[in-house]
Amino acid sequence: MKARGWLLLLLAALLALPWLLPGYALEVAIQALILALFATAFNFVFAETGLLSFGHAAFFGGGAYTTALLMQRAGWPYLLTLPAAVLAAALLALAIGFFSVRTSRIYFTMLTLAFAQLVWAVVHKWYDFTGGDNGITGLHPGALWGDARALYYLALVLFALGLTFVWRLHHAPFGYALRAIRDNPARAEAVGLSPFGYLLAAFTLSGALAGAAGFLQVAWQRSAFPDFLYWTKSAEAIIAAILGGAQALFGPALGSVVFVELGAFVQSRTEYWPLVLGLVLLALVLFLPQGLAGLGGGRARG
Amino acid sequence: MKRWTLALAAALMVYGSGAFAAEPIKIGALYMLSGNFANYGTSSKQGVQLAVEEINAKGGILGRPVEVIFVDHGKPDQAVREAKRLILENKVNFLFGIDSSSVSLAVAPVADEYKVPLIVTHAATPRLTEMCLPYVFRTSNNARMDSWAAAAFAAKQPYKRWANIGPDYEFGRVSWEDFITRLKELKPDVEVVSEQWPKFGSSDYSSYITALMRAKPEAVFSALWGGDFVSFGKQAIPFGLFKTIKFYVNPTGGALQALEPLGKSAPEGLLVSARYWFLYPETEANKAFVKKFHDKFGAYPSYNAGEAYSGMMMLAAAIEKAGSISPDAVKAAFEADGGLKFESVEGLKWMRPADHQVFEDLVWGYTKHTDAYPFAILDPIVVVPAKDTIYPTKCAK
Repeated sequence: MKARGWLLLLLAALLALPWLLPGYALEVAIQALILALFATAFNFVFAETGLLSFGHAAFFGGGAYTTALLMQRAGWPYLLTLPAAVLAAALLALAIGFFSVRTSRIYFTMLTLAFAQLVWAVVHKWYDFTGGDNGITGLHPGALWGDARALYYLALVLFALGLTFVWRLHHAPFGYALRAIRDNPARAEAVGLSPFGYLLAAFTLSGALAGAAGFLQVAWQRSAFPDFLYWTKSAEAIIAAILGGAQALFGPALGSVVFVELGAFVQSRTEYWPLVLGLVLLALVLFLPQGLAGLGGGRARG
Repeated sequence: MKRWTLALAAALMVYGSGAFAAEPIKIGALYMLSGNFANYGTSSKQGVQLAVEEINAKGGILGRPVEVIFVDHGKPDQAVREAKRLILENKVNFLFGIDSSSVSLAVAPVADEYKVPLIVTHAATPRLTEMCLPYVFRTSNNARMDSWAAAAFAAKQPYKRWANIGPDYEFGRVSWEDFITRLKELKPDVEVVSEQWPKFGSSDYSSYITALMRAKPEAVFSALWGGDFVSFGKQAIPFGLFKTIKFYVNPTGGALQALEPLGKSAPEGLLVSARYWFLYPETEANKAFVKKFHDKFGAYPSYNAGEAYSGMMMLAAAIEKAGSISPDAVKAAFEADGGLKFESVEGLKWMRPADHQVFEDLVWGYTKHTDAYPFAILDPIVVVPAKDTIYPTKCAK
């Protein structure tokens, strides 16, 4: 009951935020929400299955490019591209997952990285279709979603839906099956669970959520760039999850807020942001391996 | 807590009451200040610093001092966020600078949306001005003009077997395409024998160099720049590339960031350019600028430092002419009377009203070693008149 009270308070605060924050802080808040959705999507696979994907940028960027291309080439209104972006990202995840989830640990990580870089290279070189390294620019999401407050609420809704989805899956038999496969694949198989099917489903759902984050990024940035698909984008989700605590439901979101806010603060003052980030990560890994969520008593997801 | 609030309120009141005589004109300058190409951003920043110092020493613009906030633009998404911060938080009146082409394409629509004029001094993709955005201006020449100038030189040469080696991304591809299309128009009997596309930022060029030499070209076009040009040059010399070909042309090879690291090892007789060359024009104004720059920073101004300096001075002239800092007044000042003509230290700059692209004489020259400098300089200098670089635009005016 007490937890629910805090949750409602947090929700009220999040809803009131656009009316309290000045323009720029709101822009940063939207970015934090987008990364929060992306990191939560990534962390679903990481926490439930123990598989560390280094290729989630492909799904983030896949969603973003689907939205951008539909807006630019087919003149679709922004919001209508959401289902397409999610579907495209899911299909991409299905394809990459089909080859990757059979492998384990470092092989899985390297394979997802390689596939994502492949997708990046295609987008980066295909000038006639994707605009190559120039990206797709000048995408205005229309009067409504062009407004920062509206976009904030859209991002908040999608993030809340994504988080709820992940939470429900965690408590569903599907989640139990995934954790069984994570903890002991041989025994899981012995009781009749097919690791391949479960892992592929988890990976695909996670990719779909990442695609929704990419969809949001296009409206915020008014453009899409190959950087969205580059491995550094995948690293952002990983860093956010580690920063916040991969074992807690809210961990990746918390890490995202800290990552984005700290980044905005430091980058506006010095060009040594990577140094600061490195020190923060070092301190966390050494002294707070549970991430920032570990400060709250280290309680795992509830 | 209460005391702090009071102090803050008092401070705000002092500020609001106009205790500071004239409110500064705020300019947000975005440059590449970190990473592999930070030496470009740093020299651009120095050019801006010198310009602003001079402007403020003379009483500012319209009697208001100029205040510049420098920001590292990084990659496009960081740049968009920083641009929004400058606009929304720092309330800048203008955005300025930008080294990277992809960053310029990302920031331009944002600046335009918030109606904050953006003055670009370095990023050279022709696409920027072909977006025809009303509040976006470029005060330096772009890559297409460089390629066309290179083609005009190439057409005068007797060589028919041409090859290319360029960085494998938009700038390298567009430069070569513009160059070879133009050259074939001017001289239909040229033949392309080899195209080499090393990755942008490569360190090993040996396989590309040998492939290039196997094709036996008479002449080579290259848009390799910065560290890429330096690595390529250092590796091509021992292979004897520059001895086997008769003609080498590179639109960005005249940058000090390329010639200084090569030092005395740079081959002579390469036809190179930079958008500004510190020894040209030989006017008092330019000599004074180079001296002041050298005294202040201990280095000669690179082309992008010169462009940043001139761009800031040109913006100041536009604001003076407009008599106001309102975006529409400044836009009108840039466009009026057939486009603003501004006499900068690097010569006359003309702002074409339709696409907000500046046209100016382009400085080319053949590399040559002298006793006066520890690096190759351009001698003799060949100037391409601005009128020969004017290409059609799709922007309507």
